[in-house]
Amino acid sequence: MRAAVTCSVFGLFVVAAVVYAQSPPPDLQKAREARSAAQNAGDEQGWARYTTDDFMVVNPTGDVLTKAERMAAIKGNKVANPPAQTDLKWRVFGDAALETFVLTIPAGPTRFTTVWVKQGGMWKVANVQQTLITKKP
Amino acid sequence: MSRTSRTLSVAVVATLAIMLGLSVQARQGQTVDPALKKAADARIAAGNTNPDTYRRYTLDDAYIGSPEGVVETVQSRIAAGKGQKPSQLKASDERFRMLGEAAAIHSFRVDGTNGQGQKTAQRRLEVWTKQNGEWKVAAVQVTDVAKP
Repeated sequence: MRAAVTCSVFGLFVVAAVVYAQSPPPDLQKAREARSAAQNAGDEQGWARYTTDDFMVVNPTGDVLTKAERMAAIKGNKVANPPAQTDLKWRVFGDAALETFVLTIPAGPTRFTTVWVKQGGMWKVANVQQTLITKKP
Repeated sequence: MSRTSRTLSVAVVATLAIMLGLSVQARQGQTVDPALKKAADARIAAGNTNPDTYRRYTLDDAYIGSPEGVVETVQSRIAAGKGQKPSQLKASDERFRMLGEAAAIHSFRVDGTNGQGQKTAQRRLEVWTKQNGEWKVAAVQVTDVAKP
């Protein structure tokens, strides 16, 4: 009986550890929500607070855009019904974190990899890569 | 001003500019770990046709996003490269960004030629992590450039 209880408790710890490892820390989750909200509100300054100065994004056609170019695109461009993300996964490596998900944008379903970094105590996005999904797994 | 003193002035200004540049780079934490650069170069050169090199520089559970938007595994990438010759890929526009001590972004463009002799180009994002003193890729995502 004691062995069974010990195994169960150990099992719970293992499950908890795995779940935690796949979830972002609360401050990162908060930063993510604030950045998305700013983007959907067309608030480029709010979005910029959560974006590194050397940010770059590769869009589905392989073009590279800078922070200034993205800010110009976001400015005043409100998104009423943002599409839902699927297949969201996180991996955290100390002061860096990886967020991967699928989002359907006008070009079609697209795979995103977002790289977050903690700078001066604040989580910011350093890089985004987008790839159009053209083949089923 | 004589030619010698002009040359000397130019040399001093150039040296100061280089020192200032290096100092700014170091302050921003952008100095690339030589071991990371070496690992990244080796990984590009080997591609997925050398299983030992691929495994050496890739985490077993790495996230690998293909140009078709499919998530692959280390095993499937190695299987795909089996019996293939290493591609003659030319990397350009390489950029390393250190994310603290134990993670880094490596982004670059690769140009090559496909089996039909057509020019191809891709943008690649690699996220590296240092574990037990070794740099390994934790995530890769590849995007085809529409107009190579």
